[in-house]
Parts: sequence; C-alpha cells; structure tokens
Amino acid sequence: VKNIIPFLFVLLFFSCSHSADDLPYIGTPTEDKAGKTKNYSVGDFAFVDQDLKIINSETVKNKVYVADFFFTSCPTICPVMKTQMLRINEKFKNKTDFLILSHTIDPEHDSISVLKNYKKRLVGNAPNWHFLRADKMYTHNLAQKSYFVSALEDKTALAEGGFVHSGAFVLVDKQKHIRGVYDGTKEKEVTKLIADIELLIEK
Amino acid sequence: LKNKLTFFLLFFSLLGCNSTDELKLEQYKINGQRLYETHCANCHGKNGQGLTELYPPLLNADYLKNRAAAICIIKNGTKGPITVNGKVYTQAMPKNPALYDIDIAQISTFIYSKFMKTDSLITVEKVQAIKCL
Repeated sequence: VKNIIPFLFVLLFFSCSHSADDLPYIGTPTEDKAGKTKNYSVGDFAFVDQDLKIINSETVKNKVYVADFFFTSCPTICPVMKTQMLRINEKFKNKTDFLILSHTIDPEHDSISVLKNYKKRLVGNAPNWHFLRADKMYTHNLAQKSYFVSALEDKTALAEGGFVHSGAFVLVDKQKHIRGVYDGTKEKEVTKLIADIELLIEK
Repeated sequence: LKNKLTFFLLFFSLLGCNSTDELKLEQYKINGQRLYETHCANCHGKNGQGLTELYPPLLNADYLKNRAAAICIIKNGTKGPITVNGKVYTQAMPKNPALYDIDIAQISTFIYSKFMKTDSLITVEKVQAIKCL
C-alpha cells in the first residue's frame, strides 16, 4: 500500500500540469506605458478565402485557431501536413470557436478557383477550414514576422516546387497569443496539438 | 565421372544465376522502398492509399496494369486529369529531376511487388526501352 503513494504523486503531478495556463506564450512580450508587460499577440491581417469571403483579424476574434503555410502544387511536405490537418479538422469541425487558416504562399498559381477545387477534393465541406490567398510578399512577411515560420520563394529549389517553407502548425488562442508551434509533418506532435487545442477551447 | 562433374557444375552455376537474380530483386525492392518513401509517399501514402480525392492510390490501382504508361509517369510526371479505379484526379505530378533510370527501375519494382503483388524485376534496360511520349 505504501508503494502506491509515489504513484499517486506522479498522477497528481500529471493531472496538475495539464492545463491551458501551462502552455507557453511565444514571442517577445512588450511593455505598455504603465510598465505592465503584455504577451506578444498576432497583428492585424486580411485575406480572401476559397469562397471569396474576407478573413481578417475580426474573424478570429474569440476563436482558437491553427495557422499553416503551404501551396497546392507542393510535392514534398504539404500533403503530409494536410493529412495531419485533416485529423485536426475531423476533431473540431463542429466547434463554433475554432478555425483552421491555411495560407497559400504561391498565390500566382493558387487562384481562388484552384484553392476552392483543392479544398473540395481534400476535405469537402469543412466550414471551419479556410484556404487563404493574398499578395505573395504580404503572405511571406506575415508568415515570418507574425507567426515566426519560414516561407520563401527559391526558384533553385526544384525538387521542393520552387518554394522553401516550414511545416509548422501555429496554435493561437482567443486573445491572439501564440501558444505553441508544432511540426505538422509529425503525427505525435499533432496529437499533442489536438490535446492543447482542447485545453484552449475549454478555457 | 567427368560428365557427372560437368553436370554438377552446370547445375550449380544455374542455381547461382537464379540466386543473383533473386538477390537483385530483393535489392531493388529494398532500395525501391527507401526511394518510394522519400519521393512518392508524401502524396501517395506510405501504404499506397493516396490522399482523399487529391492524389490517386497505387494500391490495387487499375492504372498500373498499363506498365509502360505508369513507368513513364514516374519518369516524367504528368499534367491534367487521370482516371484511377473509376475516379478522376486533376492534381499535376511533377517530374523529379533527381531520379536516375536506376532509381525509376527500383521504385517501379517496389511499387509492383508491394501494391500489385507482382514480384518481377524491372531492370534499368526495361525502363530505358520504354518509349514515352
């Protein structure tokens, strides 16, 4: 019976550590005039989705969302990322306070109709999942400066389809704070991401 | 005695030939799997299952029955619609310039043995003999 006590402590420890407050705040905090520190939050943005709907900072207000960067003709990591994103969509497709924002980094090729067809073939009807398009440099800058993930054009990267980008899934909470960056090509990391989304939605 | 010896030697050399071919087949399958997982599995899936309606499956895919056409696509990629098991797929497949004919041969050997259950060696010569459009 005594043996069970450390075991209980371990259990207690794990149950305690499993809360939204334990997720980190990513990005450099800023100080306001009163000297109070504020956690980094994603700045304003505006895109058009596959149905020509405007998706901007207002749309994500009070919603938890996952952001990623891809392009439809990508032969390398994107299909793996999309396989994993399908798992996330399946889990949260009926939630009203959750969104997925997949940004194309190749808007020249990925027109609205290409994105619409891609979405239809990938997942069919998925009201929470938006495929976003804007100017190329605007999108690349947003990826790097707002979400801290890489997205570059590199015409010499032939095998990668002409673009170099990260396979990251960025988790953003209802106050636009980045709470995690996950490798969207790894099943295990996405399982962790799914658990963390649940924590943030519950909160 | 001499006859017997010749017979045995002939017999063993035949066996030897057979086993080098078998060895080659195994080699192609193993290398082919590694290449498949690096260059093909992202879209077509580790088990050849494809990805929803975006990328066609390879597992029991009727399209693979036309071996020459399939090998040409592995070599040169393809654009435009393609019908696999009655479904139309529209995503383009890029040519992979990093793959040599030996790689194409090994990938093809692996695909046919794993997904079509036909265990036969697809050699470099066979790959090079196919006239693609």
